[in-house]
Amino acid sequence: MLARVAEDLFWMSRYVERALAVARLIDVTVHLELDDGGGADSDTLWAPLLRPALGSDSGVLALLTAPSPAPAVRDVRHELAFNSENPSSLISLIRLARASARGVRECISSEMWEQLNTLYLWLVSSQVRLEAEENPHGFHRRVREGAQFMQGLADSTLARDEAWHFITLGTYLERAQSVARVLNLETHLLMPAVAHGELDALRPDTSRDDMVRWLAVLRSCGSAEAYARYYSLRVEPARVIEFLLLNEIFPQSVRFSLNAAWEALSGIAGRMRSPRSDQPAARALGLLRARLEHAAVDEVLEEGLDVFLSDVQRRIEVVVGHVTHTYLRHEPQAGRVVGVARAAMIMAAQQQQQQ
Amino acid sequence: MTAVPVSGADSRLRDYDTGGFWDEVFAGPGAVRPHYAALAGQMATLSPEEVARRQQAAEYSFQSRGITFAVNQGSEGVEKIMPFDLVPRLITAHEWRQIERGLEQRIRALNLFLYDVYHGQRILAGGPVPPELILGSEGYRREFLGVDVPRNVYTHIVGSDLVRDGSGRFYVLEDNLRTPSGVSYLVENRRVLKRVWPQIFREYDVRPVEGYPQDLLAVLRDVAPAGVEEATVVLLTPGVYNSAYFEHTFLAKAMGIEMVQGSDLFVDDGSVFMRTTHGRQRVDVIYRRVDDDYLDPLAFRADSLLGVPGLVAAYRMGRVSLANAIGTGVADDKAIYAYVPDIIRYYTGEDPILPNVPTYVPSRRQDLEYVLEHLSELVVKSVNGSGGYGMLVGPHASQAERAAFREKLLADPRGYIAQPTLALSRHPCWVEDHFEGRHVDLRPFGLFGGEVRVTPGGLTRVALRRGSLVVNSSQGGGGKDTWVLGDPPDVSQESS
Amino acid sequence: MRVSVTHTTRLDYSTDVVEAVMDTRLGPFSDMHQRWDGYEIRAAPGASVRRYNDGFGNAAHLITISRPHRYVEVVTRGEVETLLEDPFSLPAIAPRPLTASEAHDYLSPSSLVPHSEALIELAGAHQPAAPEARFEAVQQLMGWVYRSFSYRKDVTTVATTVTEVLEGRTGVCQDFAHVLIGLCRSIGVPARYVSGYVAVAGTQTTQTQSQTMSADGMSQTQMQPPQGPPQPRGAGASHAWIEAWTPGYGWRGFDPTNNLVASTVHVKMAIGRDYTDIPPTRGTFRGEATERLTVEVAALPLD
Repeated sequence: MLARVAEDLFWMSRYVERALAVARLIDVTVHLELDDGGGADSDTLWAPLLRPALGSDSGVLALLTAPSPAPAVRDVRHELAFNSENPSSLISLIRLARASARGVRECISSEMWEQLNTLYLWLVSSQVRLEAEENPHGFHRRVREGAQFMQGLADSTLARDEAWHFITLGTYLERAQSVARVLNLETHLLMPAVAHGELDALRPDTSRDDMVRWLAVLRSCGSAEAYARYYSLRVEPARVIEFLLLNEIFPQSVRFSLNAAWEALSGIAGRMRSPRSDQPAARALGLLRARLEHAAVDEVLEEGLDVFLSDVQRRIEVVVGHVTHTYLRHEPQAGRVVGVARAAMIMAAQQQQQQ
Repeated sequence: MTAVPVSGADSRLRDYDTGGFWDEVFAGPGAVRPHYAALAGQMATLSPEEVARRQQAAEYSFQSRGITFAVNQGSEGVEKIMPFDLVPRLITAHEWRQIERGLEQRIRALNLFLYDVYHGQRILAGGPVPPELILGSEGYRREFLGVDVPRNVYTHIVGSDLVRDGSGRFYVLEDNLRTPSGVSYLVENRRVLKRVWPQIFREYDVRPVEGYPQDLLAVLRDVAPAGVEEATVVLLTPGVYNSAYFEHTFLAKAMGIEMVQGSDLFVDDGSVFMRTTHGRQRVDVIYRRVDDDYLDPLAFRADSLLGVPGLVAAYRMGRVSLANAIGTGVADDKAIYAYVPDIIRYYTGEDPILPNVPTYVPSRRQDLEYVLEHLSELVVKSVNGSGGYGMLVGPHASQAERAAFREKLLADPRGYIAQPTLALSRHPCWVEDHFEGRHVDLRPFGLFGGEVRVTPGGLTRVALRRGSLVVNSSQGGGGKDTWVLGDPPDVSQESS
Repeated sequence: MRVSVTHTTRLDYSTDVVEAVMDTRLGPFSDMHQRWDGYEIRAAPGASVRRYNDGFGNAAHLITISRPHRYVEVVTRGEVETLLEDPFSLPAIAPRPLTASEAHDYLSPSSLVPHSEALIELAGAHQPAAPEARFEAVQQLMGWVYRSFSYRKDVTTVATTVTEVLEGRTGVCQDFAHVLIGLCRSIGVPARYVSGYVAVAGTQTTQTQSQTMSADGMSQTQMQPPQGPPQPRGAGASHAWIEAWTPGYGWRGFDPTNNLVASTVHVKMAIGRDYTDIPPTRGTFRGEATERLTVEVAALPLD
């Protein structure tokens, strides 16, 4: 298939997944605030969303560089939802997803396009801001469901061809990335010591406040119910980390996501004429999978959670880079990055004046 | 042709006023033309509710299939569906034979003309067309002289606009030889009508039109560069903001070929390649829906971001084929249109089967004088305009508009032509709760890959505003399904 | 006269770029006044070079490099025999009249030589009385251009029109050629642009242009003055003059920069309506880089 089309599909699904993550994160934070009775430190609560991302990545939840002076919470929420100049706001993400979908409408089902278009038109409609103000939860829920509906439609309306593989690859690489990032940010805030490998800080008797926060972490990743069903015990930081990072069967975990991405990549690479050139992406992803496959949460904590998570995030970026070079941009030599802006054709004059 | 009287119950049609125009359905008040008789029976029984229901179903069908055109190019403009009138326009086998033969002749002659213009230029030495009209045409591509194109085919796809005057005679109003559009409507209107009003098809032998995309693909394959066995064909679109974007996706899908944008292609070692997820893939034939000027920044407009650098050089080397060829615009320049009957005689020695609409060419002094004196009776068009823009409909124009065109004509006589305001034929259209006559034209599509094949059908465009003569979709025009009828049984028996 | 020609065009980039596509009009051009005796064109690194003919009958080459690269070097080299010893003599066989198409090409305004009232006025005084006087009329116009314009580099660019040159009255050979073309066309003499070389012993120069491509596609051009001792104008660099068609003579070259009727020292690369039809090189690449253009030309008489 055309590289441009594959790239648009890949990014369409990344943006949708990203919007889903952002909507969930905002919603959870709003809830936390309410739990706090509005008294506690709003800044701390919103901090993960406002902090530049850790690790190498440039963007996913690097929502904002914190504006100063610290804005009112309402403004932050508004910013995250509606500031179209912020590339990570909900409105920007859905707009970008729609723009990507628009050029490849013939490759997705009309239901998918209509769903995305409807979501976008709702987000830019005049009444939506009021709705978001009056019922923040309802608003975030609708964005979340809109995004999930879109993913469900992809699953149920598309043939399992190359287009679908690129969509799936985008969704799961993005999901692995954002779960890893949320975990990384939250542990830094909740347990700076643990983040740096001081295991003593991992007391089993988590305080009530902390438990609320850890529950929120689970919710941010859409995983609270599944966690409860899986462990049927109280929220423990180590178990939460284990669940979100290493669970094999839960679709929000990093490990599951990477396995799903691997399936998609195999589907794509299976069609390759020359098996050599697909190696970089597959090898990088294979190594990363192996790392998660054989990791135990205790060892991870011992190693230093932030080290581990940053490494995971970095490696995902490497995979994305290889996918981009090998399939999407088809640059002649992968790894030798040429600073080519997409479709940046320079009309160099190259004309010599005759003297 | 005898007419069938409308039966007593059909009051809906008995009150229909032909307004003194040639009406496609009615030979006179209450008298239906024979080939419309069965359809008129159906029309007469329609209730407003039923029409509304079917109309809605049709609109929904267009909308959900995304059969839309962008109203404002270049921005995220509104996407609209072309208004669709349920009642089909019927063309008898007899009428169609003349149209088909006429277009066949015209397309052959125009290709001989284009070959000549870009090779020996015999026509410039004492031919019927003033040389300066040809050499000074905006569509003339000087850089393209001496290039051989596969099978000497220049216009693979032609959409000519036909109109009928008050006597019912068909005329060619203009030819579209560059990147004619509208063929998707020809196919989709039929599909939608079959879906929302299947009953009316029962009493008719309607010639199918679905074959168009496959015929087009066959033509495109046929003109692949010499030595290419299994040609890779792509459709080159300017992108999502183009008003005909839907049509591009429709055709690419129906032909099973990739739809590419300029940035998907690149030239290396004299050949054109597309970037795929599995590496470069050579492209042999490009069905381009991008104008000449934007094809290649190295050859034409340097600021074109839609184009492919080196494409024209690859084309000149014969390593990729383009449909339509570069430089066909010289043959649908409206000033040269005026000479097409002479061009037909010059190259084929035959008399034109389909006449032209009489046309004044103001670059001829006496024509300019006549046009200026008769502005209020004439339609004045820009020679390179399309889409109903840049024209003056004299009888409907204000004093100020006419004055403005007088200035334009004096400043640039070569830039305009003028034609008498035709009493275009009309067809009943459903308006609110009854039938009213609206002016229509007909755009059939011809394919040429060595032999001409005219798809039996066409896009019937309707000027929906009462009294309007402008049928362009960008100017409030609508569409109708167009049926070319099979031979009546008795005729085929005679011939067997 | 035998002339050896070497023309090197080099592009250097600040960083890797891909998909270079270059369209050239670097010859070899053959007609009754010059015959090539060996010609080669080479492009590096790893470039594909494909030859074709353009609509004016010029030899053209399409050069492409798809892999990442940091420079492009195109070298043309050849030996040519120039035959027009006496440009003032009438040819043995009278030239055929121009076709309608040729007349239209070389009498109509073109992109860098647009319609200009100023030109018509300037040319008016030189309107020849009889067709036979046209050759002399063109000579006079050439002389007028030579005297009225000052030769200066760095004032004009490849995109400067005649209208602009007339205002500034300065420029390089390209500009002078355009002015003379406009004057000829104004008096009804078909005229075309010729790109080529002037063969002068012992000269070689380098021409450097540095272009910074910014995101909005704007480019800045700087020219470095050529190095070396003083020399005839146009010698050692790629040069331009015109050809005018006059009855009896047919196409003959007039070099307004040197006030010379073209003879055996003039070697043609290509012909066109004006510069925009036949720049020696024109191209695109993908990438974000600064491009630096260096040109070296040596056209040396061998006899």
